Amino acid sequence: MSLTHSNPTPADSSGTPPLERSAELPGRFVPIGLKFALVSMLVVGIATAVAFFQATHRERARLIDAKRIAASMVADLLAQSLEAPLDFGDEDALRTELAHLKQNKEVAYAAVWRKGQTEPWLDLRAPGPSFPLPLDHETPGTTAFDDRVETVRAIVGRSNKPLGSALIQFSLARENADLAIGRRDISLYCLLLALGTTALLIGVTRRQIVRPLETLLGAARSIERGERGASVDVKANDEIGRLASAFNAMNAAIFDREQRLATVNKSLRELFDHMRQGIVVFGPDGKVEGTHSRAAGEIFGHQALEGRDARELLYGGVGHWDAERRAFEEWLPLGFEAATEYWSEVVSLAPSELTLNQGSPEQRDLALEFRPIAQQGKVSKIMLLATDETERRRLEREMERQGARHKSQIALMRRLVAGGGQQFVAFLERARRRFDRADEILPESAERLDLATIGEVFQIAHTLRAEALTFELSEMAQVLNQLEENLSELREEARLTGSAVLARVRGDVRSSLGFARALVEESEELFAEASPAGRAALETMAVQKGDVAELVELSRGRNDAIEAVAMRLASRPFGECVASLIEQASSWAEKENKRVRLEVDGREAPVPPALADVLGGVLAHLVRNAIAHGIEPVPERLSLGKPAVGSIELSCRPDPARGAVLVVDDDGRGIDHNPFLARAAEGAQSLRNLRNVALSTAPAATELAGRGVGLSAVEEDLARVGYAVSVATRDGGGTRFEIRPRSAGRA
Amino acid sequence: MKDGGEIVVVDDSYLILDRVRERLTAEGYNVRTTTGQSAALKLVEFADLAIIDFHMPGIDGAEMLRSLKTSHPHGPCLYYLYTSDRQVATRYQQLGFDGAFLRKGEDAALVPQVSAVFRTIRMRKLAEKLRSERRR
Repeated sequence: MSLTHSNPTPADSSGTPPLERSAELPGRFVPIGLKFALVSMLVVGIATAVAFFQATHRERARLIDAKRIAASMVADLLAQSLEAPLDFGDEDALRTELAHLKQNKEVAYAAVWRKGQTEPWLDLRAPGPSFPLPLDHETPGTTAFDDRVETVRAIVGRSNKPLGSALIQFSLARENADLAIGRRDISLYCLLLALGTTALLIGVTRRQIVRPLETLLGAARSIERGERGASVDVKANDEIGRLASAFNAMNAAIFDREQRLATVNKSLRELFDHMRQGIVVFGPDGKVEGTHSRAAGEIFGHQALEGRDARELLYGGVGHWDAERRAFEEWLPLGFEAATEYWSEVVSLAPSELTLNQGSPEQRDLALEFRPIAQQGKVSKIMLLATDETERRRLEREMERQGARHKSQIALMRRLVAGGGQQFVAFLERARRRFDRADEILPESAERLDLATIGEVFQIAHTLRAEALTFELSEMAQVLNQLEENLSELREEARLTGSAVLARVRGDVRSSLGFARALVEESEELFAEASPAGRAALETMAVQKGDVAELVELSRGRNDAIEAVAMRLASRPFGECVASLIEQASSWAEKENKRVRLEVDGREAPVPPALADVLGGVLAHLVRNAIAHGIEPVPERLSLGKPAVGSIELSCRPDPARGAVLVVDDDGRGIDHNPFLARAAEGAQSLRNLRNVALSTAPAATELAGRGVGLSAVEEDLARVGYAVSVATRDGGGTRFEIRPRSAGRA
Repeated sequence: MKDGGEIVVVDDSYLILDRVRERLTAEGYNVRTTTGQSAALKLVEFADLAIIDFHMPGIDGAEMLRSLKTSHPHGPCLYYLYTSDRQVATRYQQLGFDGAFLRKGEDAALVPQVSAVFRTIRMRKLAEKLRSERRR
């Protein structure tokens, strides 16, 4: 079997590298092949040693047995041949018999004892090694030693008379030499066998186990390094093969999962980076963890936010005494301590906005949002979403500033109007003439100005500034002050050289004049807006009341243009008649728990003097009635789908028949639902019927209206000055009173 | 009432007091202002937050704080310095204050600071509640 580590593709550079390398193992590295070889050598060595021992032992036993048998036979023959010579004491015959033994090369020593003697009678010693004599040379027997075989025979005469004994010692030198050669051969074969077996085992182990394991190890390491696609080539179906195929499956699964993770990661990252919100995540120690969105880097001005303290990030620029910082520092542990069910409360205590680098040009206004990241019901991390709202806040502040300016100007204008307004109108006119004059002497093309021109423009600016100050037009005064300073510089220059180059400051001069003029126009608009008579205030001039009254008296009955002009002079703008109503209406509504807006149309329309005298009271009645009975309370209005604030429209337009037509129109519940008016409206649309409803039908007489006397008084007042009132209702609610001159016949 | 918070402001300048009152009232707080020590003594009794100027003629903020704390030793009121003096602000703890509002005179900075203090008060109540729940 073999496993091939197929060429791994290089690691995906965008993929995250493995965070940990495989751990170093304790102790020295011992290859599994070496262990296997040592063990197998030991086993084979022991086995061969045992076999070798067994083989040599048997071989020796066989050789010695053969020797013993041969020795016994030789000894028996010798004992028989010595019987007679010993019996007869024939020493020569004995010697001859012993000498025969010399022919046997293996006989090392032979001896004959006479019965009872300790020293041998005769002996024979062959050349070569000599062996010790046995202590007992009378007891017959054969004994084998390492180097010799010793045999003793008793020599018995006729009638079993013991005569003596004979000993022969055979040398084992030849056998021992043969044995040594056999032993050497056997041990050589055993060694070869052991080596061969070991080599074979090592080879098989290496090929079948070690190398495939190394291949797997290499592949595992390449995965560890983050290389993708490392797989091993499986060729055998055994345990290692199965391990390799399981490894490949695991690798593929890892690769697949990583790819999916990378894809998800990438799209998340893109989403993250395209959000306008800066997102950072921090742990209980306040330290930012992991990556953050691109916007967060921009907002907090650091590209690397990881490990930075959220407290420093948000409140780094202020001291520890800062109330906002201290609040956040107390909040942070609370955010991690509180269980998730308290989070809505906790999050309401977190800062919702923050101004970074307050007061500096890099000021940033942030809207903050905190979200818990919970694990097992415990907040483990907190996500901060910061939205840069600098631009929006700047606009808001600008709007606020403009609004405040407008408000203060309106207040100023009201004061001016209250003080008569005529002087202000005169100021506006004079200012405009002065601007015209300045434009005239400062032509677009002029590059140099002479001293006289500079002096005149300076004079204009100076006077305008003083006047502006008397009318508290501070912004205009400021602009003109700057202009004066510029002009005095030019004047210095012109004094020295006769004329001054406008190039440096002309733009300033012209634009300052233009700006001041725009402010005058704006003041005029505001004045007209604040004036009860609207733009008509700009057209009026002060006259003596007595003179007008006299003129009206004198022209009465002439029915000509003079009478018409006299009447027009004496008439008052509609806006003036309703001025006090506008202020009072909201307080009346407040008492009734309602909300009302008065809209006035035709403020400039002239109201004949007689009508003007009663109109204030009449309109007050009608408006109070509309508030008390017509306009619904806010909840009711909302449930009907109407705007919360009720509207009452007061309008006036000149009537061709020498008078005015006035309308009071509310968007309340209308006659049908107005119990007070409903009954009256049953018969006719005339107010006469209304008046006849003597008493109010309102559930409880309120403070404002409904006392039953209001409308009849209205009709009587109007009739006295030649006017009539009618009432109408519209589909969808609302009541409309119309006041117009009585028809000629009834006047 | 947004927070229903009762605030006392002590400063020697009517102009400052007017602006602070206008601004904070618009945010829904109950604001009382005074230039005098004796009035301040009465007012802080029911206040959640007292904002005290440091540099006042005849008396400094620390002295004012000492007398307020002596007469209301266990009051729930938090005391914050109102100053544009960074040196004084860093000494707030030593002077016995709970914190400081720097950038005096900038209305826009005041509102988030005050709101942070009221959040702190509510945080402490919540933390207390959590602690007592854990004990049970």
